[in-house]
Amino acid sequence: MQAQTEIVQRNGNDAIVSLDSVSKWFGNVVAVSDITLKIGSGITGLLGPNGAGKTTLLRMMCGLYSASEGEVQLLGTDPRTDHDVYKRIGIMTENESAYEFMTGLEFVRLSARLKDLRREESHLRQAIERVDMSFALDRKISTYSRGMRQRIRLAAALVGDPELLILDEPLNGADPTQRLRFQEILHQTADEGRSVIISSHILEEVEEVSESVVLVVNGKLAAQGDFHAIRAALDDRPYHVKIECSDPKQLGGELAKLPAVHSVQFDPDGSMVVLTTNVAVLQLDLPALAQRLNIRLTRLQPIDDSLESVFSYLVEG
Amino acid sequence: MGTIAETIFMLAIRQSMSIRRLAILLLLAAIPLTIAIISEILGTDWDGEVTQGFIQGLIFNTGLPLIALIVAAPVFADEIEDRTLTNLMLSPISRWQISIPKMLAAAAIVAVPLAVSTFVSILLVFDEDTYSAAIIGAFGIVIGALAFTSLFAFVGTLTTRAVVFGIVYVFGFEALISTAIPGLKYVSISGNTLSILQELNSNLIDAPASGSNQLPPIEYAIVALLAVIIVSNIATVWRLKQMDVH
Repeated sequence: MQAQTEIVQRNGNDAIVSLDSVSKWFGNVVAVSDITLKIGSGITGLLGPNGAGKTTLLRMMCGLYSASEGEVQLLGTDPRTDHDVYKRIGIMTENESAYEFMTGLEFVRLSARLKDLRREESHLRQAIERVDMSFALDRKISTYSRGMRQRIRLAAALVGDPELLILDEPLNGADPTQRLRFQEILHQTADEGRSVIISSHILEEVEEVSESVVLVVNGKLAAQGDFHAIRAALDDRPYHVKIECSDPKQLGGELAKLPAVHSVQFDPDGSMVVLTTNVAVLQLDLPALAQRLNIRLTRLQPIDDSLESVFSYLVEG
Repeated sequence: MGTIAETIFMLAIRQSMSIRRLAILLLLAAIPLTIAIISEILGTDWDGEVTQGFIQGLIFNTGLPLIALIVAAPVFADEIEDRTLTNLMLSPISRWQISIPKMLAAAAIVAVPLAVSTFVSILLVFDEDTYSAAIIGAFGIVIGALAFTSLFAFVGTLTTRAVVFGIVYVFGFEALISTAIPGLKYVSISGNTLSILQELNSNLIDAPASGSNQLPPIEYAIVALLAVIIVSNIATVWRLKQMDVH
């Protein structure tokens, strides 16, 4: 009852995570640079390309890394000094950090005991059931696949019904069915009034579960806020699309007249690069145009559709 | 110990019980016992110098630190390398609640087989005051195990190559240099452990009053060993508080 009260109070007021001018460097390498942000309740996605500093940021939030500069607050306290905060949090790190010699049930039991939770065996089994791992609870973790390890670690994080779950790339190694189950669990957790911070380098992965996102690029905060607003900004960004066809000059001339096309550039190899603000419209118009002109399309390739380019666009404004 | 401390103690015991490590540990611990049994079977008459070489040189200067190194150095180093330390560090417990049970588990694993081996070996090779000497010998193993495991567990938090450092220390310093250069027994864990045993039973440990094998005075030895245990454990806790856990 007391934990529930704390959740309600926090939802009304405080940030779950608060970073104030936080930086982290390892030797000469700056992993996180001067990030200030507050994360509220609900499901928040921490999004960024590989090497952007997401894991470093999450590890600072969890207290696993000290901040080289700045202040980190987790549930209103410094996790580096106030370890009691871990009673209220379930954390799943990116690494497969489970004890290989244990069975799945033993690992979940260990997690409960380390939190000083005197849970009945049935409660532990429920946590395992929740991640669909009951069939393997008595098997050694060394025999688990990567996806199974992720699930048993999630079960360990869920023990004690923490008010905050912090998950670093939890969907790595998960198959489509497991991904759906993960998403269900995250939504259930949020419905129970608990909060989740989940990191990923895959935009769509975060889109499916998060209400708000924090975008990190090159160790810096690129954007933060409502996912849909950020997604709309992404939809408006110009894309480069490479097109190869039987008559580039004729098709290029006609494409340049389309409202969705900003410019057409011809490459020496006979292909052309079209700059468009609306890929969806281009995808519809292009085949119709090619058919009308009796031109055969041989290749259509977005050349800057990577997550890195999306983030670069956001960072550059 | 509370529930969490017991949990970490038992976890550390299980982690140290890999078949390979257990085999090496038992093999090393059995060496003095094997020698004692063979000499008993052969009816070998041990003179004072050989007995002292057996107890001081083989058991306390070499066997004890070597076994402590094999068990204690990986206590944190393996967890850091396997990235399992996060499971403990993300728990609502003080860092000393992690370090002390781990150190005690390592000390227990070192002390139990070696103390048994030492106890029986002394019974077999010692002539006078046999039971008292055997009990004191086993007691010395426990004290030495606590000091060595505290030190090596701390070194394991600094580097994953703690075993390399430890081998140089054990064979270079404890077994060789500290027995060759006068005065270095004062900074040797084995030397200070032997000093306590000498005070308890001067027949068991018969060290000269001067020269390279002169042992420190008992008062100094007690303070020195306590200092090693306390400072090493404080340093381990400090290191756990400071470190970035990958």
